Amino acid sequence: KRERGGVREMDSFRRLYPEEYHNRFLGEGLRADGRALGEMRPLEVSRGVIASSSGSSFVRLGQTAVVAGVRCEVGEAPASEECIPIAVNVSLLPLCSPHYRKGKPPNDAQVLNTFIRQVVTRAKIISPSELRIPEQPEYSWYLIVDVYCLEKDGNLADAVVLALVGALQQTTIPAVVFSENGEQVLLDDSGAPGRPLSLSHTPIAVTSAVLLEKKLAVDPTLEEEELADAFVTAVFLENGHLCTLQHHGQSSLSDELIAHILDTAASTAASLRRTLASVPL
Amino acid sequence: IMTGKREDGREGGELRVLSAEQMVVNRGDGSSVFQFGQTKVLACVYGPIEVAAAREQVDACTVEVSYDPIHGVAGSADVARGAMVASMVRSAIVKALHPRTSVTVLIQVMHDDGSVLAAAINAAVLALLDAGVPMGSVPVAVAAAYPGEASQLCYDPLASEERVSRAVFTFAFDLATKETVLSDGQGMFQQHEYTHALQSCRVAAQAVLSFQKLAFSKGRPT
Repeated sequence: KRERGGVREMDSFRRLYPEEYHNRFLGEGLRADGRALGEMRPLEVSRGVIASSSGSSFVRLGQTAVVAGVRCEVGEAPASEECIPIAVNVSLLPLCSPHYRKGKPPNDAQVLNTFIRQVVTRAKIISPSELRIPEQPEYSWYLIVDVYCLEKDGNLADAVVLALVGALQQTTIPAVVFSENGEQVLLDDSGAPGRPLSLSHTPIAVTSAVLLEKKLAVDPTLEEEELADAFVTAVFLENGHLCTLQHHGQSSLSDELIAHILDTAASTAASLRRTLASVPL
Repeated sequence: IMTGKREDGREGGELRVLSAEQMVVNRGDGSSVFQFGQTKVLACVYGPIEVAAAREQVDACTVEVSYDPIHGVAGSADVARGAMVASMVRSAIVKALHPRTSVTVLIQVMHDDGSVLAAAINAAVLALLDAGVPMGSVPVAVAAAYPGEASQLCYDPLASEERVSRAVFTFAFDLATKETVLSDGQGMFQQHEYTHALQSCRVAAQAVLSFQKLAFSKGRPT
């Protein structure tokens, strides 16, 4: 008899014929992990996970796990008034995937870094005046954000944006005092509380994969990413506007499918935003 | 920009002078230079050729793209653009016809005066055609921007226009099916503005495609 069932056979089938395996579910309007096509994996966010940082967050989207930490440093104010003094670096650690080794950042990391930096600039996350030091206008606060991917099970883009925003929302700019000659900015050791960082906009990213025969899969797992024909990543702001939209892949999309993807993504972004807002600082 | 002419005298809906040349490089299997006005990109294609065992695929050809800026080493932004061009190439070529080989596309930006990703995609497509790599579709790319707060879309932005625009888009289309192969939108925009930009650029892409056909057939025996 052909149909024997059994976990080992199913596992082999899954590995040898991933397209057929996933098609069985997609044909019923479901995905291999039981989710509906437009459903995200359960989102877990915690803040203040790195005590030594000015702000931090840990985000888990299904099995994908990302941690972000923010450090505040004082430096010379940037020459341009519009420049936001924030540096973000995303690291894809070797522990998150067998494809990454120590040393030169893999291409995936460079693509992810370009994406996250574009989001930060284009979303105007922080107004430049927020980081200025009014008493010493030639100095400014610099935010250095490190984002580490600890586990990669697909959809790093969305997780990284959530971790970044989650950490920034929790960031406190330390209190400072100035030296006698006014030339040095020193941390205030007296225990004065810092001021919470205020964000101008909070971007939320939603990535959808288009799987075999134009089926939509929001928040793809790693397996789904490897099967996907196309990806659409849309980054929404709290007013419903977009600040980044990237769509690429080996198959083209019709206008109707793009519109459907964006509509689903907009409502998903709203629900992610509510979840993030409900996590205490 | 809404009512008057643009910096270089164009109207909002006007593309710059297009220019293309093929077979520019001797060693490559195919090559092309494509220009939107002063923006000039060279693409060189090697393939199908041998592929490293680690990247070999038993049922398809492996696409590799490298994207080099005018000066210096490729940075993250260049790698990201290269990845976009690679996904376009994967959508265009018939990968199953040449399994266990690679098609390598080398993009060299020669001058960037705006719309560089669109120029790179068009150059890559012409180079692939020049190399005779079997293609299932011919993507055509166009860029556009919403300058300042005005809602008037302007096509093929200059670098100076891109810098001040509130939103910049690059699209690549498969005009035979009217579907979109690639979109890259950055800035502050609403969904309907993205849709408007997409549909308008698809119309502009027809002009670019007509030009590509002319450029490809010129100098070839009919």
